[in-house]
Amino acid sequence: MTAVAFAVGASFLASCVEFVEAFTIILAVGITRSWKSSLLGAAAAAVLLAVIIAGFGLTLASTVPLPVLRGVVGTLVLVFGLKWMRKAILRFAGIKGLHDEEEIFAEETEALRNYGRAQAFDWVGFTVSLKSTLLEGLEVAFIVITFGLNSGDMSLPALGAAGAFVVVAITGFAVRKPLEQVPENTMKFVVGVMLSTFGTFWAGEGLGIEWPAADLSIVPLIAVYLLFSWLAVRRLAAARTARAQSQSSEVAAVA
Amino acid sequence: MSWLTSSAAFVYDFLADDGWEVLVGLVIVLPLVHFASEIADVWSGLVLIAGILLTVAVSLLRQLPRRPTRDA
Repeated sequence: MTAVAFAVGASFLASCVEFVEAFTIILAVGITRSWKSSLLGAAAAAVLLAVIIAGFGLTLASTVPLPVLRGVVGTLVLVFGLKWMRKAILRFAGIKGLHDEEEIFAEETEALRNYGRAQAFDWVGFTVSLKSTLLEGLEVAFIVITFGLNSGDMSLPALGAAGAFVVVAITGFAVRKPLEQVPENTMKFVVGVMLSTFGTFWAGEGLGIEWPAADLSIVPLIAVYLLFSWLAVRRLAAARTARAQSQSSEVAAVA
Repeated sequence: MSWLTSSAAFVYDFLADDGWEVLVGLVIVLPLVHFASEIADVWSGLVLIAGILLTVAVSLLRQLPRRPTRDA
């Protein structure tokens, strides 16, 4: 009985961590870009995952080069995340808003040009969602196979993983609406920080880093990015104000 | 072919929006981290985080309005 509880419980908890990571990115992409592309990316990853599992079976854990996959996916997610975080910091500091007229004009012009046409599919959102779901799904498959081989019964850890999926999916669905009320730049900033964190973590694992406390290292990584962003916004806002004052005093001196 | 157009548009937007600074930073930082992880695993995580933060900091500072020069 204890062994059964351990197999189900350990698989449930470990899978919960992986599903939370995947759902965080699916939610983030859905809220900030497009639900259609985010959910289709996740669905495509699920299909791909099913094909991979059906093809490799129990040999999956020894045949798929997970460190390489983590490195590639992590680097790509990191690039997306840093770009979003950087842009949100510039907007919070008031710098992006000051020099953004051309971009806004271009976006508006493009929106008008596309008016009446079928809306273009968001491939960026689709790709980010697909990559992250596929990576986390593979990790859940590895967890189930590892616990299954150790306990001698594959159905128990599979049951734990399925339970984790249901719990995380219901929680994700419940928090979707409140998250949609968050202001756009704040949401993009949070998404940027989350993607940068997961990207750093996965890219690091791909490069051979063994993070202390394994997946729990994600928490201090989030803290580092939040602290850095807070300091960057303060520093940039202060520098922008100082330069604006310096410019206006020089203009006054000339006049 | 629409996916190709979308991908090209994304790459163009990314580079045109100073995204190249982040890419250049990562191209320097990631191999360094790989070497660091071969030497001492404890430090490689710190090298990765410090390299990424330095990359973003440089990219952000370049966005500050330029100081007016005497000639201007």
